[in-house]
Amino acid sequence: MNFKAPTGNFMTDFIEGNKKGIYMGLFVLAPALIFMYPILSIFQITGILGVIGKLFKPIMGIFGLPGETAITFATAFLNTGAGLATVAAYFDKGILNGYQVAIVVPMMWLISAQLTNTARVLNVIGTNKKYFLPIYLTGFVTAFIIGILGRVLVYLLW
Amino acid sequence: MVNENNNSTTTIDELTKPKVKLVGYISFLLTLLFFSGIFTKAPSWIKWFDFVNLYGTFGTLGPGVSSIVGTGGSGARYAFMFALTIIPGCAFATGTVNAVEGLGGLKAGQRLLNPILKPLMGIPGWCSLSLMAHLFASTDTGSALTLQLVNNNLITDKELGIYSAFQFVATGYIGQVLTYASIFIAGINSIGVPLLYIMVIGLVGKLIAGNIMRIYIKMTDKNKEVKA
Repeated sequence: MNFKAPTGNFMTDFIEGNKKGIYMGLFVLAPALIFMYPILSIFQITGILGVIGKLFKPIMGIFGLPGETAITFATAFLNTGAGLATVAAYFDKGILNGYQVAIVVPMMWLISAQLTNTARVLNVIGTNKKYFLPIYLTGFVTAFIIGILGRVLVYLLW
Repeated sequence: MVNENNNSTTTIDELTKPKVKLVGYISFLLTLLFFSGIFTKAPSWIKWFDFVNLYGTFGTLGPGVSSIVGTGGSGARYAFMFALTIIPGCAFATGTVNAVEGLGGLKAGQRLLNPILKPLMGIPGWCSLSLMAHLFASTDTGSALTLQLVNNNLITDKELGIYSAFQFVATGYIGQVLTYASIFIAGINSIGVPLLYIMVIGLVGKLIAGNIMRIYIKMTDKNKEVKA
């Protein structure tokens, strides 16, 4: 969907921006949520969620996060909206508390949507192919650093 | 005529005997079971394979419930109601950013960033236009403006490597955070963390990513010189 570029008229621009937001909400976030919530329901009903939680506890524990957030990272890697949907669902269910939400959200974003971003960023701007792999890895390293930093900062400041 | 006849027979063939893979048959059968309702009250290991169970329930509304999602809902229905509650936030945020962009707010940022990009990330100051567009407007606008720099030879291969890493991780970060904030804001607000924190820490992450790449490129560069 195409939206008009800002014109300088406050009202026109604001309304055009609103349209963009409604479009994003309805056609990007809502589908991601309607996809993720039932999947999390499946995981919960079958008990897979608990298994994943236990399995990834040691790794996610580094950042003070429950093991279940492994699913957040796995889905965010494919689709940012879906990753955020799991964060919202976990907060609802009490799997994540406010501190953990503040830690996981920036981390998740840093490794998010790597496949789509390859098409939307790297291929468009013509990044040298030899830098692709280092760039992918950079995302994970950065998420790790921000995870540790976030864990310290969030508990220190609030 | 012969051709037409051939066409019509192939069409009839396709209509009467479409090529079906085994997966097609299996998924068809499973779909029937999924919608049948046989498993609605089945034991938990198979209970999930049921439309009604995944369709879920709306939350309950009543006195003291502040949002239309209610309490205790689940599945697709709950997800949709939750999505509805997010849309006003999305619309309001993107509206504001768009209006600020129209007023030239991004240009101000561009001007301010200009002198610090070189020390901050080792990329030329004129990247600031595409950088602001990338951060606030959208990933694609940012990419398009970066492409202009590349086409006009205003950025070297190595600088582009650094800049790519910055853009690649958490693309369109500030704009995206503002748009999607309503999805996680309840969580961070419950302990009093402001949205600004999420924006700043992510931005720091992007800068770290750029600089990791900067170091990597410097190191691999030296290696090559040694070999030569």
